[in-house]
Amino acid sequence: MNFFKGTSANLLGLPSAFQGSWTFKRLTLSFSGEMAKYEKDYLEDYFLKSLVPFRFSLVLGMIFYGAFAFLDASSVPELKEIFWFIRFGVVFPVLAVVFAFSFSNAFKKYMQFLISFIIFVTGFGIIVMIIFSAQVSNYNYYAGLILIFIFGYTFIRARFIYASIAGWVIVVAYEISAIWISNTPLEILINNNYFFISANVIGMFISYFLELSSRNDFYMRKLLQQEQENVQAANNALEKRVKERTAQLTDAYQDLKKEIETRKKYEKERGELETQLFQLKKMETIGTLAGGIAHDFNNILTPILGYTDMALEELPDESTLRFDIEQINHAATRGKDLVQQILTFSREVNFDKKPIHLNLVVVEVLNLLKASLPNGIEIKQKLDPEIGTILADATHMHQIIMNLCTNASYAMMNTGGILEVKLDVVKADKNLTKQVPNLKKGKYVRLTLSDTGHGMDSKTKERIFEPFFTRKEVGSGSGLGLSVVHGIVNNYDGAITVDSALAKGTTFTIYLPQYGTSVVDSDDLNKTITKGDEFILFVDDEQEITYMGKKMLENIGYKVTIKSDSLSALEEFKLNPEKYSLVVTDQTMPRMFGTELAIKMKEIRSDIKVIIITGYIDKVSEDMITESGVSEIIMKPLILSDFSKTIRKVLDGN
Amino acid sequence: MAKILIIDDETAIAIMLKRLVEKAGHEAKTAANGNEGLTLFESFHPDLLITDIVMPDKEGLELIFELRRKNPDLKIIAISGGGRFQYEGYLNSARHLGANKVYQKPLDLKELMNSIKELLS
Repeated sequence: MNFFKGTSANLLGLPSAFQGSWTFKRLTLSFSGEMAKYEKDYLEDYFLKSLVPFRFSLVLGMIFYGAFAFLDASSVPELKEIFWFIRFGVVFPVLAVVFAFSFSNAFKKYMQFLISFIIFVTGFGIIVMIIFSAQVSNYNYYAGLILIFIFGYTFIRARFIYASIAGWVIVVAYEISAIWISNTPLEILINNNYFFISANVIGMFISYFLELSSRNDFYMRKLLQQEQENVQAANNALEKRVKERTAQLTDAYQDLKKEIETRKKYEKERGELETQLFQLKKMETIGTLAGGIAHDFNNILTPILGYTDMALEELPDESTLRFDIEQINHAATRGKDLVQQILTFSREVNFDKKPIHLNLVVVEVLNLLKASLPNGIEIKQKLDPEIGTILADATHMHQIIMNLCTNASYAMMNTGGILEVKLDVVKADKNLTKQVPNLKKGKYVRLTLSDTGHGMDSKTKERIFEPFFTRKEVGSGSGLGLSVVHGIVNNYDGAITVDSALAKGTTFTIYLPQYGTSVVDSDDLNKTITKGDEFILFVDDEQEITYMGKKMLENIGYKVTIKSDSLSALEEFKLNPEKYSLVVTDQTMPRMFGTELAIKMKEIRSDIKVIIITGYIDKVSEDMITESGVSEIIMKPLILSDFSKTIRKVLDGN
Repeated sequence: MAKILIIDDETAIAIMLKRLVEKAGHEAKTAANGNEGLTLFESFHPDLLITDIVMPDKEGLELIFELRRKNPDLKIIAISGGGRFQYEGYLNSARHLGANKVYQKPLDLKELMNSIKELLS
C-alpha cells in the first residue's frame, strides 16, 4: 500500500478559513500526524453516526431487492423461481441476520467488514442472476450491480476502503462470470463494462470525498470542541478570577465597612467628648464669672445690710418705716444667701472634709423627707452598708441628697410615683471613664436617685446644671439648686450624670471617690428617731427654717409654735411662759442674739430650757453660753436624728 | 474707748463702720486705700485697724504685712468680699500675715461688734 501525506483542504476545495492542518493517509484516509491519535475517536463517532442510516439503507435495500422480483417475473419468467430463491432464500436471510446483529454490542467491531460482506453478497446474488439470465440471452441484469454500487458507496455507510474492496471484488467476479461462465458477446461485455466500471469508479470518488468530508467535519468538530474547551477553560479561569476578585472585593468591602463603622464610632465618641468638654468649659466659665461677681456683690450687699440693720436698731418700734426697711434687709439677706450658693457652685468655698458613711446621710434625708412628701409618692431605698466611706462634708451631702429628692418629689407631685435611692460601689474602668469623663480610675461610691416623674427633654437636660436655670415657676426657687449640687460633687472630685426621658422619669447618678472601706453599723442605719409630745417654741429669723423646724419636730410628735422674729418670740413667751417645755432658737438674728433671748426668757421663767442653733460654733463665745444658761448648742444644718436626741436629752434633764 | 482706723475703698462701707463704732463709743477715722491709710495711721495711732483687702493703690494684704511688722500689738480685722478667683484665699492670707480676725462680706455687724469688743478688752 502506498502511504503519502497531504492536506485535506486542496482536495476538498474548502475555504481557507476552514483550512485545517490535519493530514491523512491517501488510500485508507486514516488520520495521520497530529490527528492520528483521534483515529479511534473518529471511527467511534463514524459508527455512532452510521448506525441508524445503515439500518435504514439495509431495509431500503431489502425493499428494492425484493421489488425486483416483479422484474424477474416479467423479463425472465422461466427463471423466476431460481431468482426468487436467490433474492428471498439467500440474500434476504443474510441481510436480516446482519440487521438483527446490528443491535448487538459486538456489531461495532465488525460493522465495516459486514457492510463489505453485504455488498459482496447482494452483488454476488446479482452476478448469479446475470449468469442465469445469459442463458436466455438477457444481459441487462448487470445494471443491478450499478444499483449495488450506489448503495455500497453511499447509502450503506461503508468506509471508502471497504466499499472499494467490495466493489472491485464484484467487478472481478462479474468479469470472471461474464467471460468464462456465461460467454457474454464481446460488444455487450464492452458495453456493460463501460457503464459498470464507470459506476464503480464514480462510486469510489463519491465515497472518497464523502469520507474525506466526514473526516474534515470530524476535525472541525474536534477543533470546535477544542476551541470550546479552550473557551470553557478561559471562561473557567475568568470565572475563577472573577470569584477571586469578588472575594477580594468582599473582603475589602468588609474591611471598609468595619473601618467606616469604627470611624463613625470614633466620631460619635469624639462628638460626645466634645459636648462634654464644652459643658465642662461652660460650667467652669460660669463658675469663674460667678466668683468674680460674688466679690462685687458682697461689697454691694454689705452697706445695704449694714445700714438697714443700723436703721432698724434706731427706729422706734412704731415707726412706719420699720416694715419698709425690714423688707430691704430681708431682700438683701436673700441676696447674701444667693451669693453663698453661687460660690458653692463655683467651688470657691472651703469644705470641712471628714470620712462619712453616705448610708447614714441618705437615711437621715429620707426620714426628713418622708414627712413632707405628698401622698402617692413612695420611697424605695436600696442601701449597702458595705460601700465604705467618702471624704466629704456631711452638710454638703445632706444638701445634695435633699436637693435631688426635693426635685424628684416636685417632678412627681401631681402624678405620684416612686422615688428610688440606691447606693453601691462601682469600679471606674475604661468604659465608665469614657462615659463619665470626670472620673479617674478607681473605686467610687455611686448614689443613684431616680424618680418616675415627668422627666425632661434633652435640651433641658443639657442645661440643668447651669446656675439660674429652672423649670419651676418664678418665685418657687432661685434655680441654683442643681448647679450647687454640681459644684459640690465636682469639688469632691466626683461626677454627676443625668438620664431622663419625658413622662418616664429622671435618674441622677452621683459618683464620689471611695475613701475607706469601714462598714457602717447597721444599728445606725435603723436609727430610731427619739420622739416626744411637749410644746416647743422655735425661733429663727429665716422663715423657711422655722417652717422646716416645725415640720421636723411635729413629725416626731412635738407641738411647735414658730416665730421668725426674736421680739415677737419673747412676746409669745411672756404670754404663755408655762406652755413651753423648750425653746429652740437661732443664735444669729437681727436685733437680738439667741443667747440674749435666752437670758430674757430665763428672767421670765428661770427653768426654761433653751437650745441654740448656730452655723458657726467658734463665733458664739463660751462666756455668752454659760452666761445665758442655754442647755445645748446644735450645729446647722439640722440633722433629725441628732436633733431629736438632743431635744430628748435636754427635756429629760440628762 | 479706743481709736479705730477703717480702710475701705467702698466709702459707704467705711462710713457705715465708722458710725457703728462711734455709736459704741469709739473714735474712728476712715481712709479709701492703703497709702492714705498708712499716712493716717502715723498721725492717728489707732488701737484697732479694720481694713478691706481688694483696694486700688495699696491693697490690704501689703498694708497688714507692713503694719504688723512695726506694730505687734495692733489689733487688725480684715474684711473682704472674696477673691475673684480664690474666694477665701485673701482672708486666709490676711490671717497668716497677722490679722486677728477676718470677716467675709457682707458683714454680720453684731458679730463684728462682738469681735471688736473682744479684741479691745
